[in-house]
Amino acid sequence: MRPLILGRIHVCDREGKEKGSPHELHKFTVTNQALIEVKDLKTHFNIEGTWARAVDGVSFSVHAGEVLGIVGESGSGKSVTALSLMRLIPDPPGRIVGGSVMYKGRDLTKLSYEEMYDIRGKEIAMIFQEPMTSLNPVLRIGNQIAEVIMAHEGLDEKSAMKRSVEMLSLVGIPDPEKRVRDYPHQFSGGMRQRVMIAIALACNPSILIADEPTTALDVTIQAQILELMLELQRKRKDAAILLITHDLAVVAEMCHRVIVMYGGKIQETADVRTLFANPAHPYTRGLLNSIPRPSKERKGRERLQAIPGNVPSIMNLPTGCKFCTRCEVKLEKCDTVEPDLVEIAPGHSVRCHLVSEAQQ
Amino acid sequence: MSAPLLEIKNLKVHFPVYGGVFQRKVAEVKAVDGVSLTIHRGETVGLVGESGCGKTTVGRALVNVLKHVNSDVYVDGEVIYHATDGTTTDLLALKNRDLQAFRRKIQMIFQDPYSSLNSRLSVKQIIAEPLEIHRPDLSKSEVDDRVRWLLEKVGLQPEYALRFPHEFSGGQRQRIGIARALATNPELIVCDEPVSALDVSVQAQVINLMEDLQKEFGLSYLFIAHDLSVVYHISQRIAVMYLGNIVEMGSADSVYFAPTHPYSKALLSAVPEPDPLRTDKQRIILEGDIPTPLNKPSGCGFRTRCPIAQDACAKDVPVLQHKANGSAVACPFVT
Amino acid sequence: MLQYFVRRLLLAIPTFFVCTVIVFFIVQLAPGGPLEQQVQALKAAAANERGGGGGTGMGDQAIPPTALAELERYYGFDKPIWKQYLMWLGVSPRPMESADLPVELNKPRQAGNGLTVVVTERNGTYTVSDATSPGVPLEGWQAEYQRLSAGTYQLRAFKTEYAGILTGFFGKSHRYQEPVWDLMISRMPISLQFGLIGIVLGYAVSIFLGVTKGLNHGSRFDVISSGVVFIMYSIPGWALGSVLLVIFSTDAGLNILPLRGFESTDYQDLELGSKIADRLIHFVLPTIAYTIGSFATLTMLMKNSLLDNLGQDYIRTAFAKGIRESRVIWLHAMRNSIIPIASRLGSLISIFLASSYLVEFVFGIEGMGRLSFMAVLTRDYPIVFAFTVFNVVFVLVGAMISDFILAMVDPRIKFK
Repeated sequence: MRPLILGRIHVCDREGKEKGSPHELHKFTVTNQALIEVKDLKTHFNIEGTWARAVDGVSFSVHAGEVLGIVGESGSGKSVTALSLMRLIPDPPGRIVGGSVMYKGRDLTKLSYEEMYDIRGKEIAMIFQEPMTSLNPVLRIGNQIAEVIMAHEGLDEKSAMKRSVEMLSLVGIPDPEKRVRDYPHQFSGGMRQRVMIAIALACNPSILIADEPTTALDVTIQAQILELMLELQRKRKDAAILLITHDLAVVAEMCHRVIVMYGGKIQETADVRTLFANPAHPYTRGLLNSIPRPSKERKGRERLQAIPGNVPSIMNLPTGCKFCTRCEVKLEKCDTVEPDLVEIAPGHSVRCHLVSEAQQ
Repeated sequence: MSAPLLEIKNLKVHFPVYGGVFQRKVAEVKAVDGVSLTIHRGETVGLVGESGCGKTTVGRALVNVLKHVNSDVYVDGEVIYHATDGTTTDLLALKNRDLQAFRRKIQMIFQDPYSSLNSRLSVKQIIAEPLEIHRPDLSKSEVDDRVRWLLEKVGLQPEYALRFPHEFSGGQRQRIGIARALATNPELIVCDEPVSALDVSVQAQVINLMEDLQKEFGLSYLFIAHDLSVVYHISQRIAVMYLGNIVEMGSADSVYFAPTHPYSKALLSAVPEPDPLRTDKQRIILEGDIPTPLNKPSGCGFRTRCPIAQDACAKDVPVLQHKANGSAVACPFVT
Repeated sequence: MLQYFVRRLLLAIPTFFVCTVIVFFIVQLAPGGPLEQQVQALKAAAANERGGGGGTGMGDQAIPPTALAELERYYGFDKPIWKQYLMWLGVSPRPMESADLPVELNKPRQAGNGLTVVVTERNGTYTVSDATSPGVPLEGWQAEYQRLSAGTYQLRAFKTEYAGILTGFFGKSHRYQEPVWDLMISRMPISLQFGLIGIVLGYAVSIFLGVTKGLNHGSRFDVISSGVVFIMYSIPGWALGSVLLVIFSTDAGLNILPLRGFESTDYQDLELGSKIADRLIHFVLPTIAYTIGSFATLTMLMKNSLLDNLGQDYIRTAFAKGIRESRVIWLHAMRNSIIPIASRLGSLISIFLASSYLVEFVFGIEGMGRLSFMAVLTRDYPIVFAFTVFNVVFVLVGAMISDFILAMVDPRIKFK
C-alpha cells in the first residue's frame, strides 16, 4: 500500500519506508553496549517522618540507538527514576539511598554536585511534561537556549545565539531568527515543547529523558512532537531516548523496549512486541485490557476489563507483591513475599510468583 | 433510532473581548459558531476536538450556565427539549426561573475530580445539594436514603457518606461526581473529559460504570473528550469539532474508521495505537497550530492547515452535508 | 499599553474629585471647626481678662455677633459649602483678603494702593466703581450684603480672584497664617530623608534577608530571623524611640546622642562637614524608630516569592540544563521573585510625605507628621485638604508607576 501523500502533509508509514520508523530497529539486540546502567536504584522520600519508597531497587540499562519506555501510573516511581538519573531529586525530602547509575565508567550517584553540572544538559538532557511552565517566563527563548550552550561548550554569547537560531530551526520553528527574541508566553504549547527539545538537544547529549513529553498536548500536536523526537533520534544512532509515559499507545508507537513499573518496582520488562503480544504480569495484562482498542474486526463494543481498586499511595504499599491488592489471580504468598524479577525468555523479565512458578 | 431528547439548532456562543481606552467590546471569540446536533434518548454522543475547538462551551451552553455568568456573552440558536409526551421547549428562550424545572434533567460531570467537589462539604452534603434545590419535598430521611442508594449505585460504600473529598482517590471522586449528577434523576448528563485526569487502570472502571448506569436509567450522554479511542468506545455517534464548528458527524464506526473530512482524517491518524504490530497505519501530520477562535480564518476554519484547501475555501463557511449513511461532513471537496 | 495609561489617567480624574469632595464635606460637617475654636479662644481670653472669676452666663455676650460674622467671612464659612468647595478648587471666585472692606452705599472709601471705591445701587444691583467715575463698573470688584445678626447687614465691596488647588494655590493655614505650600515645602527635606533612608534600608535589608531566609527555609536562622522581624514589626516606633532616647540621650543613660530636634541650634554657623555630621547624629535614633516596623512585610514577601519560584518547573529545567546553582537562583529565580517587590516601587513617590507623627513628636522634629496631625486637631482645613490632595495624587500616580514597572519587568504583562 502506497503511503498517502496529501499536499503539505508529510506521511510516514509504519514500515518505515518513507522516513524510517523505530520499528525497523526492532532487530536491535541487547548485546549493544549500554550507555547507562542503573543498578538497584533506591530513591526514598521522607514524608512526615516515614520513608516512602518511591523507587525501590530498580535496575535497567539504556543502549545506544534505542528508545526505552518506562510506563506506569501515578505513584509508580517512573518520574522519580528519571529525576534520580539526573540527580534532580529535591533533598529534602527525597534522597537516593542506594544503588548506582553507571555512565561512561562513572557512578552518577557518587559524583559531587559540581561534577553533575557537566553531566546535566551535556551528557544527559531532559524534557518535562508541562511545556507551559517548564520555560522561564521572563527570559527570552534565545537566551534560554544559548544559556545551556554557553554553560557546556564555552561559546561566547554571540555564537551561542547563532546556535540557538539553528536549534530552533532544527526543531521546526518557523522564522527562528525572529522567534529567538520572543518570550515563552508568545509560543503555543506544542511550540514550547519544541523549544524544550531544542534546549535539550543543544549540546548533543547521549541520552534524552522525556518525562511525559506529550501528555499536556493535543493529539495532532502530540503526533508532531513524537515525530520530531524520532526524527532527531534517527540522526544519532549513538544516542538514546528514555521515554517516561502512562500512555501505552505512545509506548507502542515510540519504543523498542518497555519497562512496566508499579509501586516503585519494575514489574515487567520486554521488547515492545513481546510486551504487547505476550504480557506476562497480571498488571501489564490488566492495563492492556483496560484501554479501549477500536477495531474494525470486533463488531460491537466489548465491555472494558477494568483493574479493580485504586492505585495505592506510595506511603501505603503492601509488603509482598505491590500489585497484590488489585490482582485477580494472586496466590496466598503474594501478600507477604515480594516476588523477584525473573527472566522468562531472553530480554523478557517478570516479577510475579504465578509466572515464576509456571516456569519451574 | 430512539426519540430525540435534545435538539441543538445553530447554537452560537460568542465571548466578548474588551479593549481600548474605555474597555468597550472590541472583538468576539466565536467559541461556538453554529453547531447543530441532536441527542436521542438513551444515546451517547461523543464530541471530540482539540483544545479551543469549543466542545466544552457546547456542553456548558446546554447546562446554560454561561448566560448567567456574563450577560455580555452572546448565546444564540435553539436548544429544544423533547419531553416524553411529545411537547417541546426551547431552553435557551427560557427565563432563569422557568429553567429551574429543566436544569435537573440535564446534569454535568467535570474533568477534574479534585477541584469540582467542594472540599469543605461531606460526600453526603455534596450529593444532597442538588436534591435540596430540585426536590424540596423530600424529607431528611428520604434524602439520606437516596444518598446511600446513589453511593451504592456508583460503587461506593454508603458508609462513605460522612467522609470528605480529600479522603478519596481520583477515581472515587469521579464516582462521587457521578452520584451528584444522578441525584436529580437526569435524562442527559454532559460529561466534560470525565476520565482524562484519571489513572489508566482506573479509567476503565469509570467508563464501565457510566455504561452500566446508562443501561439502568436510560440516560443520554454528551461525552466530551479528546481521547478518541475512549470516545469511540462509549459513543454511538461522534461529532468532530474544529474552531467552533462541527466538521464531521456520524456513527462512531463511520467517523472512527472511515473519516472523510481532512481534519477528522488527520486527527484520527494522529491517534497513537496501543499495538506495535500494526503496520498498515498511515500518519498524517498536520503542520502548525490551531488558530485562535479570536482570529478565525475566513470561510472554512481548517483551510490554513488543510492539505486539500482551495481558493474557494476562503469564501464561505462550508455547511454540513448529509450523506446517505446518516453521516454528515462540512467539506464540499470530499465525498 | 499607552491606551491603558490614558485610561488610567482619565479614571484618575473622577477618583480625585470624589475623594476630595468626600473629605471636604465630611471634615466641614464635623463640629468644632476653626470658628468654634476661635470663639473658645476668645472666650477664654475674655474670661482671663475678668480675672478668671467671670460668670459663665456672660460667655455668649463676650463675642459680639459682628465679630463672629467677621470671622465667618474671614474663613469663607458665610458661603454655602458647595460654593466653598468650588472656591477651594479655584473655579469659583473668592474675595481677596487684601481687598475686602465694609462700605456704605454711595460713600467713597479708601481701598489701598491709592484706590478709592464707591458702591452705587441701581435696580437692586450693586456696582463698585472708582470714586472718580461713579457708576462705571470696576474690573474684578463686587459688592454684597453680609448678614451680621438677625436684621443687621453690612454692605461690603471686595475684589475677587480665582485661587484654588487647580490654579496651584493651596490656601493659607488658619493656624500659621502662612501659605500651606510654604509650610509643606519647609518640612519636605525631613520627610525626604526619612523616606529615602527608610526605603533604601527597608528594601536592602528585606531583600537580602528574604533571599537568605528563602534559601535556608526551615533552618534555625530562618526561624529566629522571622521571630526578630515580627517582634520589630510589633514594636511601636515611638515607644522604641522613647526607650532609645533614655538609653542614648539622657544623663541616666549614655548621653551620646542629641535629645531633640532635627539639627543643632547652631546649625547655621557650622562648616559643611560638621553640618552633615550634625544631621547624621540627629538622625540616628529617629531613623531607627521610623524604620523598625518596615522590614517584616517586605522580608516575608521576598522570602515567599523566592520559595514559590524555586518550586517552579522552570527551575527544575534550569538545573536539568546543567546551569550552576548560583545562576539558577540569582538569574532564574530572582528575576521572577523580584516582580512582586518591584511592582511596589510605585509607592516610592509617597516619600515626599513620609512621616510619623508620634516619632516626630518623641524626637521633637517639625516634620510632615506633626504638621498634618496638628492640622487635623486644630481644624486647619487648608492643610488637611492639601494633604488629602497630595495623598490622592500620590496613590493614583504611584499605582500607575507600579503598573508601568510591572510591565517593564514582566514580559507577560501587557496592559490593555
